[in-house]
Amino acid sequence: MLCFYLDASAWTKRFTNELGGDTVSALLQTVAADEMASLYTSSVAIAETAAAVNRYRNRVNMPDSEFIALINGILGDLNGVSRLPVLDSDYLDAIPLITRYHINSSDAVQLHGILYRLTTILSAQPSDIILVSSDSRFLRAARLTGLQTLDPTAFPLEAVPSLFEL
Amino acid sequence: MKSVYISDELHRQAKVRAAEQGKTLRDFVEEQVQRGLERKPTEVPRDVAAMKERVATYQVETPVFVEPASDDPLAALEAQGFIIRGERLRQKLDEVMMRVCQQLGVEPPQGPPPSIEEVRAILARYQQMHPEVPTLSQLVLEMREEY
Repeated sequence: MLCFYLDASAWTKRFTNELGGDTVSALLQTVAADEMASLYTSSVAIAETAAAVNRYRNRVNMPDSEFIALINGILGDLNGVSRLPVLDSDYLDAIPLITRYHINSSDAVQLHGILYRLTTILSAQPSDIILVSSDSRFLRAARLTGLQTLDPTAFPLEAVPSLFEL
Repeated sequence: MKSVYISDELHRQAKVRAAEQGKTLRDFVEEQVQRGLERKPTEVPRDVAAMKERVATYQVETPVFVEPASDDPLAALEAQGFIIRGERLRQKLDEVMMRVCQQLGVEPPQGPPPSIEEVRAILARYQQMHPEVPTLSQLVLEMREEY
């Protein structure tokens, strides 16, 4: 079972024409059609995305009505994406990840969620879990914990199907 | 005389109610238990029903986490209230959108949410007007640097 975890820095690329957006979209499509693969995100990533949209709205002086349409459309993009539960204890368990890999609290709680929930609840092997992110620090920390990583800006669209080959 | 252990919170509430009625805690509790025992089993007073409803809501919001050992772990997590999926997720997001709209004083969106193409079109238009503003993805990284 191949498990992908999509963070906010990768997910938001899907909404713009920047490098990596097509790769993320292709990944979402391929996972949806593959019974042996699943895609996860978390409420942390969703809230982080909403904060980025809000920041963008403030920077460009977007009218409220358009902002509402934008955020509604982005939240509506979650169909077919499973979410990892994030519990109070996860934030505390994430502290050693912060001090070891020098990542911020939201990255650490996501990393803890990936490492703990996906491996214990879903019985996934760390080598079958791929963190999809364009945050180099987050990716580095994930690699050091034994996870696979995928930076959509450095991963060609054409190579996406190869991820699913046995 | 026998002892019965109750929670600290229930003890506190009983003590307050007893004081309000000018009774000792022992008399108050005895009276309440007696009244409860005399009540017909099918009779559910309105305040108890309301209390049950509150407890049910609380249980959904703060369940005790049990690692699911079922064939469908996500369904088990959903049943325990740890994640929401499908139609409930859509309802939750609608509620969130409703609250955001109320804050801004705008009409809540009607119909299905904009498609991915529509979202891209909105962002592309603003990107063209404000090329100096970072993209959403860059803003995510910017925010992470600030934490």
